Amino acid sequence: MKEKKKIKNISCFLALLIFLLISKTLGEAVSLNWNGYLFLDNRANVNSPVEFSWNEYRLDIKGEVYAFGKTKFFGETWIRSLGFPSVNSITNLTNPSLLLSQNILLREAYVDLYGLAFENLDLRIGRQRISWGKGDRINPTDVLSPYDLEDVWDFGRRLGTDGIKASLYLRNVTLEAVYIPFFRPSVLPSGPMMSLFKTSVPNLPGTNQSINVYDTIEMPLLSPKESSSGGIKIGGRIPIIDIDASVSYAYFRDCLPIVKGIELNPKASSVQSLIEDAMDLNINIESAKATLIYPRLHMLGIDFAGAISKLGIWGEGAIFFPDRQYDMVTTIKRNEAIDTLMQMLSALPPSMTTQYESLINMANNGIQSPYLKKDPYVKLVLGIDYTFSWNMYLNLQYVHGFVHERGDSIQDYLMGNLDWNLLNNKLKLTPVGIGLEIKDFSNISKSYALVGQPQIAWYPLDNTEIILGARIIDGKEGTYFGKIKDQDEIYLKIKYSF
Amino acid sequence: MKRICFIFSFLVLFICFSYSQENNLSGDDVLKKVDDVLYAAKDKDMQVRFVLIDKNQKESVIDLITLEKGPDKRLMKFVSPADQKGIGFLSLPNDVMYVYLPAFGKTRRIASHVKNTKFAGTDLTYENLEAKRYSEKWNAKIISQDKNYYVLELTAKPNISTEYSKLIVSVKKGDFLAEKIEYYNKNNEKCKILERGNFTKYGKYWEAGESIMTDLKENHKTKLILISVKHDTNIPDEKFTERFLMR
Repeated sequence: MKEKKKIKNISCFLALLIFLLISKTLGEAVSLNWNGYLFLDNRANVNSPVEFSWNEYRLDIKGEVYAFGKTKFFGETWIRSLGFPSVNSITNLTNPSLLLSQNILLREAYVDLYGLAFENLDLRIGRQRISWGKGDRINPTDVLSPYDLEDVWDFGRRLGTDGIKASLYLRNVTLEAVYIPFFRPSVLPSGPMMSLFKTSVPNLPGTNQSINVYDTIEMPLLSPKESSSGGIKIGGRIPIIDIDASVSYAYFRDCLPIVKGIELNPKASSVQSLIEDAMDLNINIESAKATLIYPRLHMLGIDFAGAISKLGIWGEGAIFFPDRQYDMVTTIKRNEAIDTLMQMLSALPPSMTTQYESLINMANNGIQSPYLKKDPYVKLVLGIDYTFSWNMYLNLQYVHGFVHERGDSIQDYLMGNLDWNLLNNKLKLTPVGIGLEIKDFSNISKSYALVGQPQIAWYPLDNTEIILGARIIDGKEGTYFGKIKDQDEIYLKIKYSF
Repeated sequence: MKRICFIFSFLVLFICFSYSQENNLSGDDVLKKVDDVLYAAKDKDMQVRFVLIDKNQKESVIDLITLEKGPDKRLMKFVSPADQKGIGFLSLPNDVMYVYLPAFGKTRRIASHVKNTKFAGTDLTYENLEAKRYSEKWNAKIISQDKNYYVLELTAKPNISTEYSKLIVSVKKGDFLAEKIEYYNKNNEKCKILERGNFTKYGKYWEAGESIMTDLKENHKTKLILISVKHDTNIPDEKFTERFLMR
C-alpha cells in the first residue's frame, strides 16, 4: 500500500515536471500575435434626393500563431454591421439584428506547414486567398478565389477559398499547385449597384422588354468532377531581362454566373386579347424567370513585372477556353391562351406564320442562342507606375476585360490615379482617380463611361486614417458604368488599426 | 634590457609606419575601410526602432526586424505600428526590390523610381536603405582631415543612379567609423544629414547604437535606435527570398 502511494506520488511529480517542461518549451517555441482594425465607411448618394447609400462598421481581427518555426496558423474575421435598419412591422423591432444589420465573416483560416515533408515545400491548408497575377487589383489570371463584389468600388477584394496550396521553391523558380475541392460563387453587390450584374432579357421579336426578371441558380453538384477547381503556376525571375514572370494554368468554374435559360411568363389574358397582341407582334410579358449556371473553363495565363529604366511596368494576360458552348434557351410559359394561339397558328399555312416564328419556337422547344461560345477569349492588363521627385505617384492601367466580361462582350478600360504625398506622408491627395470605359473606339463620344474619384486621406495620428472623397459617374447608355450614372457619391471612411 | 629596447623600438616603428600608412590613404581607400567596418559581419539579425520626430517634436515609432547578409542582401519586416504590421521589404543585388503587403497577400516588385521616395514616412529613402557598399557606388576623395577625422567627398560612379549629387562623409580615424554623412541634392544643396553615434563594439564588430537622419527641408527627423543585434548567426540565403518575405 505504502509502495503504491510512493509510485503514485512519483508519477504525479513526473507528470507535473513533464507538463512544466512542455509548457516552457511551448512558451519559447510558440508565439501568438494578433492585430486588426476598426473601419467605418459612410456614403451618401448626392443625386436628388440626397440619400445615405452605405453604412458599414467593420471590426477586423487577425490572429497568428507561429510554432517551432515550422507551422503557422492564421485567421481573419470580420464582425460587421452593414446597411441600414430594415424593419417593416412592429415585430421586426424586437429583433436587434434587423436594426443593427450585423454579421460575422470568417475571411481566412489556414495552417501553414513550412518544409515539413521536404525542405523546399510549403503547404497552406484551409480557407485562404489564392492570389495570382501581377496586375494592380485587376488580375485576369486570378481565377481561383471568388470575387467579393459586395462593394464594387473595392477592386481586387476576394473571398477566401477552402483548399490546399503547395509551393515548391527551387532556387529562383517557384512552382505552385492549388486544389479547391468545392465551388464557391462570388458575392454580388446589393442595392442599385446590383444593376451592374443583373440579368437582362434578350431582345426578342414579339415581346415587350420592361419586365421583371426573377432568377434561380443551378449550383454544380458537390462532386469533385463538377465542383472542384485546381491550377498550377510556375514563376521566377528571368535575370537576363531582369523581369519577374510566371505562367499559370487553371481548370475552374467561373464564379460569376451566366444565363442558361429564360422562361417568359405572359400576362394572364383571354385568348382574344392574346391573339390581338400577337397580331400586333407585342405580347405582354408579366415576368421572366432566368436560370443561371456557372460555366467551366480552362485558363492559360502569363504575367510579368519589371522596369524600363525607372518606370515600373507589369502585364498580365489570360486566354480562357470554355469547356463547351453554353447556350441560352428562351421559352414562353404555356397557358391556355398560348395553347389556343399555337393551335390556331399551326392550322395556318407556314407562309402566313413567318412573323410568328419566334413565338412559335419559344412556345415549342425554345429559342436557342449561344451565350458563351466555345471560342477562346482573352483578358489583359498592362500597367505602369512612376514616382516623381515631389512625392507624386502615378499609376496607370489598361484593362481589356472587366471582372464580369466574357467572350464577345469584352470592353476596354483605362484606370489610373495620381497620389500626392504631403507633410511627410501625413496627407495624401488623390486629385485624379479615374476609370474610363470605351465600348466602341469608332464612336467614342457615344460609347464612353467615366468614373472620377478625387479624395483626400489624412493620417492625423499613428494608426489612424481618415478619407474624404467623391465619386462622379457619367456614361452613355449601354456602357457598364453608364448603368449607375445616377449613383454619384461622397464618402467618409475612418480606419483605426490596433 | 637589450631585448626590451628592441621590442620598444619595434613598437615605435610599427606605430609610426601604421600612422604614415593611414595618412597616405586615398579617399577610395578610406571608403573601402569604412565599408569593411560597416559590412565586417557576415550577417546581422537586428531589432531596430525608428522614431519619427516632426517639426513640433511630436514622435511616432516604427519597430522593425532587419536581417542583413553581406553588403547586398537586406530584409525588413514591420512589427509596429499596427497599420503597417507585417509589411516586408526585400533588397537584393542589382537594384531588385520587393515589397510584401499583407492586405493583398502577395509580393510586388518595385522599380527604381521609388528610390527617391521616403520609406514608410521616415526620412530615409529606399536608396538610403538599399544594401550596397559605398565604395561600389561612389568615388571618394579626401577634402580635409585633422588628427581625428577624414572628410570625404563622394560623387557617384558612372552609370550609377542616385538622387544625390554628392555626399560629405566624416570618418573617424583609426576605427573608420562613418560618423556623419551630409547628403546634397541634384541642385547641390545640402538636404539631409545622418549623424551616427553611441558606437558600441559587439565582439569584434562596431555598431551605431543611435543614428539621426534629419531632413533639412522638411525639418523632420528620424532617430534609428538599435534595440538588439546578433552577428554571424549564419543566416541562410533562403531568408532573403520572397518565400520568407511573405511569412
